[in-house]
Amino acid sequence: MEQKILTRIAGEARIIIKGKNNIIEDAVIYSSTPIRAFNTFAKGKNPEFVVEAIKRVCGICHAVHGCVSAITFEKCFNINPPDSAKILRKILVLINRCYSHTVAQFLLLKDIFKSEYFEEYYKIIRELMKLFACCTEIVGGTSFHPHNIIIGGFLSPLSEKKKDKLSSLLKIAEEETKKFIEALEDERLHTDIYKELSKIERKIEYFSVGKLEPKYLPERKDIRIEPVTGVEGELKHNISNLVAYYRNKVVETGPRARLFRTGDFTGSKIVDINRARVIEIIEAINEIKELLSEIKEEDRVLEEIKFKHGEAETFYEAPRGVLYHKVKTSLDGRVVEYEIIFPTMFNFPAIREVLKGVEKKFADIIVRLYDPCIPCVVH
Amino acid sequence: MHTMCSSLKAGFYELGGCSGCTFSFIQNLENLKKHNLEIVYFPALIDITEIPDMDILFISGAVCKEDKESVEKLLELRKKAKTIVAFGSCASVGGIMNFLIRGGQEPKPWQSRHFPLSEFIKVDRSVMGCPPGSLFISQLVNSLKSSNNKFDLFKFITRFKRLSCFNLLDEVIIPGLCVGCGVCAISCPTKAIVLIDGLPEFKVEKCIRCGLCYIRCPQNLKKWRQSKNE
Repeated sequence: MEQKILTRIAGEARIIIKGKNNIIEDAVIYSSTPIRAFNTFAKGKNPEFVVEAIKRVCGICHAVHGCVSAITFEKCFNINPPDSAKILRKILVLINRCYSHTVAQFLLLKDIFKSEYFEEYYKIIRELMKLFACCTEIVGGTSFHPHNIIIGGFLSPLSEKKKDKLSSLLKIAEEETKKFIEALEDERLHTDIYKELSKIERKIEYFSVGKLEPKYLPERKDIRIEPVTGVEGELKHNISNLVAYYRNKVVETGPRARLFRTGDFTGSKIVDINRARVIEIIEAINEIKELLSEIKEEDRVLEEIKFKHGEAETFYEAPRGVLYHKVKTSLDGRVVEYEIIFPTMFNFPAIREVLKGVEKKFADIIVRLYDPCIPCVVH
Repeated sequence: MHTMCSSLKAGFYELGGCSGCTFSFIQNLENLKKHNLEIVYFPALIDITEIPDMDILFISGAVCKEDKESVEKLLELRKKAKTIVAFGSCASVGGIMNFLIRGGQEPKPWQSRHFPLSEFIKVDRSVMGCPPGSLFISQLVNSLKSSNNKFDLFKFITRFKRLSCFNLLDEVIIPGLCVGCGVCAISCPTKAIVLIDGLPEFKVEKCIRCGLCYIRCPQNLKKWRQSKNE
């Protein structure tokens, strides 16, 4: 049994590998980061505070967490935000998807590109990260944990000047992403380990609820949450994360699952999950361009809010996959119960399945390829 | 402390949290290189897990008191770095982690109390923000490389263990020191502060206790500089 700390991921995670002759028989991925208790902290708190706090579950996919939290409260209180606010949120969430997918490339760069090409593609990815952070700031107000997402809609509309700026940044981002996609397809640039990995196929059942907003609604009762299995003794008490299964099955959720659902992409090689990410960046940029034409600076973006007793849930597609928020409130509108299920909770068992039977040298890369975003899983 | 021309061996460690500080730091990497900071330890960036000796180590996230491993790790990191910077509001003053006190969440329901780094180790500089922005990061690095005896905000604010908008209310607004400049409102990452008739008004339910409004208030800065000169 080997145990090691994983690097080039967001947050902290470790892997325990069991195997013979360099082949993995089983591998447990877990995090021992202390729990922040985002599922219990909200009790008794004001919904507006809860939305601000939940944006801080993740420093990468902050906008989508904030939006889904706000949407869930709005359903709970029967608030219908203006259409322009809904569009602005959608734009912000799509930018967030681009940023998150770019961060995944940043963490994978050394695995994908030979050292002589590394610098060239490092520059492109760094530029893309900056561009998407800047786009987040233009729409969301800040590049991290955007403050424009609030219950009832959006804090401020997008001025025509900002719309123009956003369009010009997205144009550059599209060109840079296309250059990167070409490089991802050109195996002459790739490391030997990535080339080897590109030949391995794995098929896990996919789980998605649509492309962004839910089209296909699963039921909460179909999701089973449990502690990580296959670990005993002292180590068992060191694990901070739980894992999730859909209809008692191990499922992969995220970019490939979404594209597979719509028939846009069918690649089942291990590396195809990352190809799906870059395809989604281009798709998101094109969708944002269309959405921008639907909003005007003078549009109303905020609806009156009134807190009350209620209950609601939301399924949504975060960059890493299916995200679930549920809230119950008391008569004065304060939170009685809040539950979040994160995509990485599904993806951890999926990675475990994918690792079975592959060579040990692939372990780290496969974790990074599938889901390098650990903070959410220990929420 | 350090001279401008020498390269400083620097590291970054995320003790727990959302990774926002980590990626804000990464966004400023080129800028830090210009300041001659050589990154030698950064698990999110470099495949090195052994902790080397460092001139400066930036640590983000708050410390969970009920997690022995985190506390031990922090003590180990302290030994390896000449200068420790509490990076971000969680590491400096607890930030949002001050509210996550309920615990009771599986699989570790006993974990509930998170503290700023200074509760456990000596912190040499603090930089607040959720996460700290590029301007603050540049100013901080300049302060680290400065050898003169000028007032150093980042050093001064290491004394604060908890901050919120109420500190600004109690120490600046109620005593009548506020001039209505609006820096607090601009600084607030959740837009919990608005200026009404020239005075800051707080939407207290949106305060995440990051401390930015308090430490960026020019009236506070004036007061602190004065106290240093006296």
